[in-house]
Amino acid sequence: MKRDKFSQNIMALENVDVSKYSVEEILSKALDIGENLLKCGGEPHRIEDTIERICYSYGAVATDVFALPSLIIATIRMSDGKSKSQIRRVYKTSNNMYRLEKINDVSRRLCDGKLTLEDVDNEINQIISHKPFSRYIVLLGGVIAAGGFAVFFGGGLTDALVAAVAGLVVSIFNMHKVKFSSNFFYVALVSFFGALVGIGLHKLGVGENLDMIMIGTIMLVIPGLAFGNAVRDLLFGDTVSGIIQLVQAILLAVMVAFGFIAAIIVFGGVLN
Amino acid sequence: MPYIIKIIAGVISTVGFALIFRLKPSRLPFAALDGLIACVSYFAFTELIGGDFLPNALAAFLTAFAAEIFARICKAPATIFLLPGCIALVPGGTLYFSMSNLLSQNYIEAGKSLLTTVVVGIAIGAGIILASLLRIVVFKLVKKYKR
Repeated sequence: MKRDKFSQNIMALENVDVSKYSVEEILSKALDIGENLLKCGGEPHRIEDTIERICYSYGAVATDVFALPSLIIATIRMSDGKSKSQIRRVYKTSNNMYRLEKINDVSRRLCDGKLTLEDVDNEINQIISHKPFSRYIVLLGGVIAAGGFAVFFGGGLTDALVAAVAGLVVSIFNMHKVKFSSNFFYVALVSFFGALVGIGLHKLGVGENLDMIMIGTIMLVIPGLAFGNAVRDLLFGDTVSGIIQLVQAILLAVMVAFGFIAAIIVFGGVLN
Repeated sequence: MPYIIKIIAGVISTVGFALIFRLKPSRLPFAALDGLIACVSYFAFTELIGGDFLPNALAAFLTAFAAEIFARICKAPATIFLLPGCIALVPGGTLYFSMSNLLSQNYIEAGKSLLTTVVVGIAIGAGIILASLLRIVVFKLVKKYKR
């Protein structure tokens, strides 16, 4: 059995009787996996690849998948000529690497025939309901990331402490996301409060270099690798998802800037 | 000496981001190692070559390729190591300086920092894509030789 993305000759599984599954069943289970991968931070081309692999392994002769950061479209055709299309819309994505790894593992086992299609729902529910990380660990992550970056960009120890406090505020805000607000607005709000704490503590005399404090805090709210990922997607030929990610990254960066500028204006307008 | 402190700080922040991204605890050492590769190679290439594009592109390339290797070792997606690993390269500093210069109406400085941010972002993307191209070539060759 040869599996190679670029030659796309993935054979149907030999150790599993794939003919007992209906087209709908195969497609919707594959899309379930794809949707959950997208929700926990998988890249669009990974989702396309995963869905194609699952469908080919379960006997599809043609699979057309198109994934965007918020949408998956898939059509499969079986050897008897039956075809089926489904669309999934994904509203909220976040980076949860534990889930990404586990769900990726589910799809891998599914393609190896070690897992049957019936078990997929059960496995996914188990993964989603299992939360091995307490929220304090995530808060700790935000604190040490902000503090570390303050030093990384050239700050001192006191700068790191102030940035860590601001990072804690940002992480707490990130944890209790308000449901009704738009993501962009929320990012501006989070950056505003993070910057407010940073500048406030600096005005009180804690910390030496305000710039480093702010950079430590900003690293938590800017869209991380989104820009690099967007460029990667664009260069790889996934133009549409690349453009979407690019626009999202730019908008988020602008929102972060708005939040920071608002905080600076609250404290009198000019830095330093 | 300051480089050592900066590198340690970079690795600590990498681990922090790994916690934010909820990596499995058993993957944390690999993510930290990836962050170490990113920081060390970034500073080394900045000293050796200078400029903005090449050091970031090369560092991102090494980081991404290391992430691909870790992915093979751990049988996990490469993103898991790449996302926290590359975070130290993300141009947060220049983004902040472009913003603060814009606010104090230093438009020339602001433009400079903003362009640097964009160039570094493109460099990271280019480095990552180079690594994934190399992965395809290398793993195909490995497959061929194993047969």
